[in-house]
Amino acid sequence: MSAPPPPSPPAAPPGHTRVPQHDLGRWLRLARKELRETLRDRRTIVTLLLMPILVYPLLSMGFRQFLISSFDKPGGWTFLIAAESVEAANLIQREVIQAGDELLRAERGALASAAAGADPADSADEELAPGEPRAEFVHVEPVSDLDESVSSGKYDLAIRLATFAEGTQERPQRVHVRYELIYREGSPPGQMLVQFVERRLAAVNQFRLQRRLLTTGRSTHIPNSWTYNLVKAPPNQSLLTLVPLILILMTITGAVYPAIDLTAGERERGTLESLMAAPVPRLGMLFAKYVAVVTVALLTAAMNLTAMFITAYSMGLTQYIFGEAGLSITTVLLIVLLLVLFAAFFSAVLLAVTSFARSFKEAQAYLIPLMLLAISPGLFTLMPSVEMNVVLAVTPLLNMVLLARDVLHGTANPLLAGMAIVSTILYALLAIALAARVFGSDAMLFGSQASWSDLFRRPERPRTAPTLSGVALCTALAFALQSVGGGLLAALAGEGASLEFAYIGSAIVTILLFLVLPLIMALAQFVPVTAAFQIRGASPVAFAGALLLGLSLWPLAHELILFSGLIDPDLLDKVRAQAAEIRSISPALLILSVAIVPAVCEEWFFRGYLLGAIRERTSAWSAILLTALLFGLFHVFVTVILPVRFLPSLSLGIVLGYVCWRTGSVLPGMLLHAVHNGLLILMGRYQTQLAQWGFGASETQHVPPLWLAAAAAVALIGLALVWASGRPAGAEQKPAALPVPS
Amino acid sequence: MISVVELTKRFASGGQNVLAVDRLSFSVSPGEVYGLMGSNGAGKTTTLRMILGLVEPTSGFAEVEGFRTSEHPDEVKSRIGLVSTSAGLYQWLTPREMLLFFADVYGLDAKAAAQNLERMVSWFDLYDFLDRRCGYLSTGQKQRVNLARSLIHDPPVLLLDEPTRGLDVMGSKVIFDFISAARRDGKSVIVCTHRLDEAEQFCTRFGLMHRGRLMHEGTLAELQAATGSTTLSEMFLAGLAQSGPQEDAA
Repeated sequence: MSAPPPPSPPAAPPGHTRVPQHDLGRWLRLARKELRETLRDRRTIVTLLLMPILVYPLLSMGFRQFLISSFDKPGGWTFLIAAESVEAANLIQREVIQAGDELLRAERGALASAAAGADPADSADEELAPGEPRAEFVHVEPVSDLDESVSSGKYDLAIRLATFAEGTQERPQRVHVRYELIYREGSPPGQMLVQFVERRLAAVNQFRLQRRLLTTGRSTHIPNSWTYNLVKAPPNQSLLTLVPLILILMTITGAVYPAIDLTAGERERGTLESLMAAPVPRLGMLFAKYVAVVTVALLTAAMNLTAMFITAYSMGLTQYIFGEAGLSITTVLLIVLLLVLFAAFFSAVLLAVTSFARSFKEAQAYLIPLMLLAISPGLFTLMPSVEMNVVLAVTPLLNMVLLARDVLHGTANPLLAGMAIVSTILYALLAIALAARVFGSDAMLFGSQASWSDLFRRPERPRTAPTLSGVALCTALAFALQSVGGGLLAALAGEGASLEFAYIGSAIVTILLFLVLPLIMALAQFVPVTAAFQIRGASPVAFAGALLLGLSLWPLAHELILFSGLIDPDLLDKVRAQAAEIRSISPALLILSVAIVPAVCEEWFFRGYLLGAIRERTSAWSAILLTALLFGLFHVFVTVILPVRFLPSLSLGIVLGYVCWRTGSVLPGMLLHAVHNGLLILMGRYQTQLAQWGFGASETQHVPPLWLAAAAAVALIGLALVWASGRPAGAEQKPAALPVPS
Repeated sequence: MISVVELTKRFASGGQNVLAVDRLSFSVSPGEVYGLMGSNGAGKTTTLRMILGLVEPTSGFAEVEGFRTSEHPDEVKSRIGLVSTSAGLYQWLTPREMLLFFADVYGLDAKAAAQNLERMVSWFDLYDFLDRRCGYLSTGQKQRVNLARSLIHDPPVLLLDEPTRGLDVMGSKVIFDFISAARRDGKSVIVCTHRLDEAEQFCTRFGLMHRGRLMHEGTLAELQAATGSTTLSEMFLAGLAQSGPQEDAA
C-alpha cells in the first residue's frame, strides 16, 4: 500500500512586491549580511581582537627589555655627549660623569649595606637605575656646533656651559655652573642621557652642599643648575615616519581574511553558484562585499591603533613617537582619515585579486607577493630625498605612503595631496570594477580553464548597451591615465617645452583616453558603436537649440568661475595666468585642442558612453546628474586650476546631459560644447583687442547685468528648442518592452 | 515553461576544443518533471547552467516563461529555483537569516519574504533549527534548508542537479516528495541525474544525453516503444553501444 502523497506547500501570496535591483537599501542589506557573516567567524575575531590585545603589550615589553639589557651590558651602546670645547668636555667628564657616578654608587652602596650588610662596592655596581647607561659607555667630545650636532642625530645630547664666578679678577672663584641640556625631540637616547646627567648633577650638588655645611656650618649657593633646550627633529627622523608603514600592515592584516573568505571562500563553500543563480548584479554583490571588507579592515586597524596607543602611553613611549607634545587630536583625526583611505584602497585591491582565486589556497598564493609588494613602498617614507611630485601623486600606493608621511609632518602640498587622494579612490573603483567583472564569471564559477583574459572576453551576441562594470573600469582607467599622461607629457617636454607642445599633447591624450579607450572597450564588449555612444541623427531644431545654448552659456560659466574665486581668491590668479598663457598660441591650434577635440571626445565619453550605460539602470535625471558630477570632477583634476572648474563644468554637464537625453544623440551636444569652449577660449585669446573695441571684460570682472539677462534669454530659447525637438524614435535607452510571458 | 533550442556549448580544455553540449532542443511544460539523464560528462549540468544564465552558450538559446536567458538574464533567474547537492550554506548564518537573505537577493520585499519564510519553515519542518547556525546542522537538516532556499522566492521553474547524490534513503525521500509536490503545484521541473532507477519514479518525461547530444526523448512508454527496452538502464546501455567515437573533440 503506497503512502499518502505529501501535502503541497501552501500557495504563494499573490503579487509579491519586488524590490528594484539597484536599490541602495538593498545593497546595504547585502553588505550587512556579509559583515554579519564575517564578524561571526572566529578567525576574524582572532585577527580583530586577540592579536592587538596580546601582541602590542608583548612587543613593547620585549622592546623595553631589549633597551634595558642593551644599555646595561658591557659592550652595549655607546652614548655621545657634545661639548663646546675640550675644556668643557673635560669638565663634564670629570665633574658630572665621574664625580656624579661615584657619588651615586657610594650612596647606593651605603644604602644597600645598611639594609643587608653586603659589600657596598658589589651592590653599587648592580644597582644602576633600570635602563640607564653605564658611565663608561658615555663619552663627551668637543664639537663646533652644539645644536647641529644634536639635530643631525650625530650626538645624543649636547651640553652648553655657562660659568658664573666671583672673587677678584686675578683670582676668580667659580661659584656656579649652568648646564644647558640640548636634546632632540622624540629621541629615546637623548632623554635617557638627560636623566643620566640630571641625577649626577643632583648628586654632586647634594654632596657639595653637605660638605659646605659640615665645614663652614652654613649652606651657601647651589654649585650647579641645569636648563633644557629641545631641538626639533627633522621630519624623517621621527618615529611618526613609520606610521604609513604601520597603516599598510594594519589595513592589509584586517582585509586579507574577509577578502579571501567572501570571494574564494564562497566558491569553496559551494555558495557561489546559489548566489550567482540569483538576479543580483555582480557589481552590487561586490559592493556589499567591499563594504564588509573595508569595515573589518577599519575595525582591525582601529583596534591595533588603540592597543598601540594605550601600550605606548602606559609604557611612556608616546613622546618618542609623537614628540614632546604627545598625541594631539589633530594627529588622531589625520591618522583616522588616512586609515580610511588605506582601507578603501587595500580592500578593493585584495577583493580584485582574490576574485580570481578558486580556493583559499590559491588566494593566499596570490596575496603573499602582493603583501610584500605593498610593504616595500612604506620604506620610501624613510627616504627624505623622495618628495611628492605630480607623477608620484598618481602612482598607486606610493602616493598614499608619501601623502601619509607629508600630512603627518604637516608638509603636504594641497594640490598633490588632492591628486593622491582622488587617484587612490579611482584605483579602488578600478579594482572593484575588475573584481565585479571576474567574480562569479562562469570560468571562475566552474573552474573551466579560466584565465585573466576572460576579463576581456567578447560575448557571443551584441549587447544593447555597455555594461556598468565595463564603464566603471573605463572611467577609472581614463581618469587615472589622464593624470599619468599629463605628468608624462610634462616630464617628456621638460622645462623648456613650448606651450604648443603641451596643448597638442593634451589633445592627443584626450583622444586616446576618452575616444579610443571607450571605443576599444565597447568593441570588446560587443556593443555596436551607434548604441554604445548614442551616435544618432537629430532634428535641425535640436541643433539650432544646441547652437544657441553654446553661444549663450559663457556668461554663466564666467560668473561661476568668479563665484569659485570668492571661495579661494588664489584660484583667480591661476585663471589670469592661463588667460595670459593662451595669448601666445595660434587660434587654430586653440580651437582644435581646446574646443573641437574636447567637445567630440568628452561628449563621446561622458554623454555617449557613460550616460547611456548609467541610464540603463536608473532614471534619466539621476543619470544626467551623476554624469555631470563625474564631468565636473574630471575638469577639476585634468587641469592645475582645480576647484575653479568644478561649478562651471558641473552646470555645463547637466545641460549637455539634458540635451543628449532629450535629442537621443550626442551630436547636438558636441556642437554646443565646441561652440561654448571655442567662444570662451577665443575671448581669452583676443581679450586685449576686444577691450580696445569696448567689448569684453577681464577675467576677474563681472559680466554686465544686461549681458547676463540677454544670455539667459537666448539660453532659454535654446533649451526650449531642444525640448521641442522631442525624443526621436529608438532613442530610448531602456530595452524595448519585455516579451509577454507565455 | 522551459524551451531549449539548438543549445550548444564549446569550451577549451587542455588546449582542446571540447563540445560539451551539441544542438540540444527540448521543452518542459508546467506540471511536468523532465528527467535529463546521462553518465558523468554527458553535458547535463552545463545544460542547466546555460538555462540559468551562469554559462553563456556558444549558439542556440534557452527561454524560461517566455524570457530568453541571453537577453533577460535577471528575469530568467528570478523565475528559477536551483537545487544542487554541491550547494553549500553560509555556516555562520542561521537558516532564518540565510533564507531571508536569499529572499532579499531575489527582490522580495520584507512582508513577502516573511510570508514565504513561514511557508518554507512549515513545509520543510525547520522549526527546531531555524535559529541555529548552519555550520552546526546535520546533513539532512542542511539539505532541507537548501531546498527551502531554492523555493523561497516561489519560482515557477525548478532545476535540480543530482539532487540525491550522497543522501541516504530518508534524505532521498525528502527530495522525491519535494519533486512530487512541485509537479502538483504546476511547476516546470528539470531533474539531472544519472540514477536512472530513481528517475523512473518521479519523471513524466525523459531525455537521455550522451556526449552532449540527446539520444532519446519521450515518456517511459514512448521510449520503451522506440527502443524495445524495458527500463531506462537498458535503453541507456543500448544507446551507448550504438554511439560511435567522439567526433567533436577537436
